[in-house]
Amino acid sequence: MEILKVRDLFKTYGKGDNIVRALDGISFSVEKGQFLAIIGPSGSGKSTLLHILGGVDTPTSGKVYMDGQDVFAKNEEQLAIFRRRQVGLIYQFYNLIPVLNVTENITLPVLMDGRKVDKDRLQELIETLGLQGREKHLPNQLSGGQQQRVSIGRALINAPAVVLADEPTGNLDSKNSQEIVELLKLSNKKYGQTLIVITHDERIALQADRVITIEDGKITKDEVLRR
Amino acid sequence: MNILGTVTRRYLVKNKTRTLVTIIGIILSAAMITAVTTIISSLQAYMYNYAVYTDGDWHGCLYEVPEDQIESVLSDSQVESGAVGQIVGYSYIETDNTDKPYLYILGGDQLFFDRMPVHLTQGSLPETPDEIILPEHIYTYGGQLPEIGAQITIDVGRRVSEGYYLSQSNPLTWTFDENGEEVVDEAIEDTHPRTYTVVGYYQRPGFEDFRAPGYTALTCLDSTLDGYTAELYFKMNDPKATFDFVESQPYAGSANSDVLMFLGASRYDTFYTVLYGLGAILICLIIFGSVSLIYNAFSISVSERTRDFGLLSSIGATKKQIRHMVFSEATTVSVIGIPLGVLAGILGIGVTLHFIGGNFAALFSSGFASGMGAIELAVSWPAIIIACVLAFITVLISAWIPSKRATKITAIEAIRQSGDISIKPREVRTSPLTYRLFGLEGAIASKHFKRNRRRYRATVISLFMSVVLFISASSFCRYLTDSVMDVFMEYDYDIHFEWADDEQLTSSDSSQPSPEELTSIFTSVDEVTGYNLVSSMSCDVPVSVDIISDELAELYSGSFSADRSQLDELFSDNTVTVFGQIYGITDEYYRSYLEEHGLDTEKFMDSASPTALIVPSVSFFNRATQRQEVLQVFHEGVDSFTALIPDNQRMQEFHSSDTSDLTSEEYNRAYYACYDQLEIDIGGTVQDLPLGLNTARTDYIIILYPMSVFRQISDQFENASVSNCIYLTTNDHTAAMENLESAAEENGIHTGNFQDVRELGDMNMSLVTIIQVFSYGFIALISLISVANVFNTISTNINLRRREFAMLKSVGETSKGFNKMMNYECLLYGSKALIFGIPVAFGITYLIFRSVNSGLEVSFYLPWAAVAIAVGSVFLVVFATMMYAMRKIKKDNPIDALKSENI
Repeated sequence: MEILKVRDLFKTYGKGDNIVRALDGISFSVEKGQFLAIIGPSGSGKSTLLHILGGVDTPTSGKVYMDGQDVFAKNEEQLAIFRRRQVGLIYQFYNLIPVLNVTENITLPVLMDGRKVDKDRLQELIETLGLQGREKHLPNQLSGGQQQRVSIGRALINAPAVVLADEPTGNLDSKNSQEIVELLKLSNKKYGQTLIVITHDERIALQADRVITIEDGKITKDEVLRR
Repeated sequence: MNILGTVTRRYLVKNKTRTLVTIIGIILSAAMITAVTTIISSLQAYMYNYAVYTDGDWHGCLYEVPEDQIESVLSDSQVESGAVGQIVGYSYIETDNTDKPYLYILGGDQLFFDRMPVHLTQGSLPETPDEIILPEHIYTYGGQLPEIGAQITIDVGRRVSEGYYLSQSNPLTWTFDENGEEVVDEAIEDTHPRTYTVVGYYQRPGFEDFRAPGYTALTCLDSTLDGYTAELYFKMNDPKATFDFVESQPYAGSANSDVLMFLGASRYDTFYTVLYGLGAILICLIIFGSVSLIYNAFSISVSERTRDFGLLSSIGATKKQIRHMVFSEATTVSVIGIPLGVLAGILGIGVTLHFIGGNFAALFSSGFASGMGAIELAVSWPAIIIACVLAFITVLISAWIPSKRATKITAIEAIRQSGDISIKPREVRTSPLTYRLFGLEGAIASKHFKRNRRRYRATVISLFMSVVLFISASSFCRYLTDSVMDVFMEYDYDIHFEWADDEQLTSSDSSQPSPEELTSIFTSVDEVTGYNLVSSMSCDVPVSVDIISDELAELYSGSFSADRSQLDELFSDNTVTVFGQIYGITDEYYRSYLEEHGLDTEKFMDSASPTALIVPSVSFFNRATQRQEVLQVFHEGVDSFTALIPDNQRMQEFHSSDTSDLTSEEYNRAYYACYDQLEIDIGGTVQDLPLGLNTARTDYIIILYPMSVFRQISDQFENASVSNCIYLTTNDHTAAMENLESAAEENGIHTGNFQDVRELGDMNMSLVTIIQVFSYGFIALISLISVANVFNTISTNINLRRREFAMLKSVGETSKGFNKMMNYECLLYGSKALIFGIPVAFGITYLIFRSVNSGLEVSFYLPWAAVAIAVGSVFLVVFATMMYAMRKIKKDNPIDALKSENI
């Protein structure tokens, strides 16, 4: 089943001679439950693509269908709710709210939606992430790897259609990096979570089901490693 | 609690200092707004009480309602209740007041004594229709007054003139008899004798018109009387309906306009227009000042959290939720700040009124409201609610703009914080001069200043505002004080007693006290410290325009009174007749006065050849320019002139004779013949006048003689009118006035001739004090807001640059270098605020000068002391804040700061 479909995405900055084509006609689809890695040199447009998929940035032209819905046909309000429910975002710099503790940061999307937190799911998630005993800690009391695990928890709490991760290990040492990748793989296996990870780390990319390579805003390679 | 609310609250707790400063800002702003609304409500209550005290607690009144109609008026559905004043009638009393020969007896019911302004000074209220109280102002004109407990029997009847009954609203009727003399044209008829026991005296009642012919005496309503008429004083259910109700009645009546005005029910509400207008201006200033602070605080808080907002947005917070966060921040600080502010405001005004309430009392309680207390704090709910709402609006306005900015940035921009770092190289270019003068540190500071222009602008604007407000308020106060002093402090004495030579000063016909006798009576009062007895006689002086100054000639070339132009016509074209006043000053005083001024005593005291002293220049109110101006009288070298002294008897005969068939030449000659001539030799000039005299009168030529010479001259003119005045200086004018009056009474002398001019001056000083307290208080608070604002901005800015400072430190910037950088930044802030602030303040000072100068001659000056204070304070505040903020930063470990992601 196709969970994500991207058609002819263009994103340009500037005008005339100064025009920069960040995305230059990108089209692909992702099956539900797939673990996709997007690689490419810096400036190739992979972060822009991820932000557009997450609905935080808008394309100059082209369409993104998530779970059959046209993402950019939504108004701002609907888009915010879409992000809240359908997308989980993981950043290189964790981006946790510094004044909220671990539990609060993880449950933020649920609470913002005005829903009740599923205690069992939260507990399971915290255990899966290895954050037991740290529930009340503030982000600045955690190590980098722990902070990133909190942000993974936040991305997973709503069981979104897609989890998007932008260089999730870019700021971590190799041991922590591998732990994070294992967690992501686990969520992919355990919950059947669709996963799109941007990375320039070959070792991580090779653990994915499929690897797309982007250069100068175009897809230059699309290899399926395992099915 | 909602999760975003929690986030907000935690931010507030985390940024304690800023939250505190914001709350202080809100407290100050709420306190000031409350102060303004509370002072308005207090003033309103005071004025209302004042009006009730002087005029009585009623809305409308009807005069002369027949007995059988009283019930129907009072039971009208619009009328709440009414007091009845039964008109018993008029009787003659013994008094020297020719316009007020009657006693007017009014029988009040219980409500009448409750509501009407009856303030006893002695004795008690009447309890039966046989008891009576008399108004105190009967005393002013002497006469034999009954003691308390004495019985008086009087013939009471109705005032009738030409067949009409008259009431208190008709002044005494006069007519001319066959000899052309004025005589009273009315009488009291239908009299019947009544006996009353005098049980007390009370203050002159506010409901007695000044022109009313009868002194109002009060007794109790006598229900045994038949067919009387009554005055009704009633309250309405709806005070606003008073005017229409009174008009709809078939009787004459009036509305208690002051009470209605202070109730807000008047048709003429200028009082409120002025009060509310002034209040609105002040509140606008306060809101402007506070918004700049509170906005700044929110704006800093929002821009610090831009990234968090973006982050929240990226994980699905809607714009509404983000905006809600900013407003919940605003609400939280308001909930703490506003109640505290309102309390502080009420407390502040309470304390202020406690201390200056006496000045208010001095302002209003002269005359017949002397029993009124000082102004008291009147807290009204509407005033507090208005203050709360306005303060909350202030906070909301302040939060609105940052919240717009918070929601405008898209998630992706927020994450990248691109909005905060978009600068172009040109914007931060600094001049090579800065580099040379202040080194690298100066250049970096200057670049910072330029980069954060918007944020810094708020600091500069609030400093600017304080400077402008402070300087202009102090010049306002200064000019105000000066002008009040100018107009009212010109008197060099405290009390004067003035009378005409032929005036009856005692009620007995026998012996009138001589001026010297009066003087010795008055100077025997302990509080009197000095005196001067002056007699004077007015004269007209025809002078050639050649010998008087051009200004005086020009003044007279305009049309003056008809009489004078008749004289002018007699003389040649270039002669004008100028007002003059001849003064005689007690020999003793005059002698020492001459010695004091180094003048020849023998020459000026010599009665064989009278030699006058002349005042060379006088001040006068120029109607054309509406200003008080100084003018020179004579050209140099004039040593004599002729004065014309009017002979009153001839003047009167001339006016009553038939002049219709005279030619205008003959008429003028006949008129001129009413004057006697007096040659005046000028022996010298003196600008400094003896005690009591001042130049601000309409006499342009002031001629001084010793009393002996003056009397010798005035005796030559039998029918000239001579008036006398004793000027007294005292060490306590109020006590002196009381003792003088009792001393006069003991000697049977009328006290109406006394005037306490110092009291007038004191009233104006009170006004100045009140204005000074309020304006300086206002400035102090507005300045506090600015200080908080500056503190907030500078310390936050420094905090935001922690990382950068750490970086500079890590590349080897020394402590000294930091100080240099910070000092230069302080200099930039301070001088920028002053460069704009001082000229604007001077401009406003000039405008104040212009408006004051339109009424008085004051010289323009710049408030240098205030400028110095402003400059000093600006730099003090800026430097102190920098020091405070830097002390915290300097403790930082550069590596921690460099690593810290969130500041």
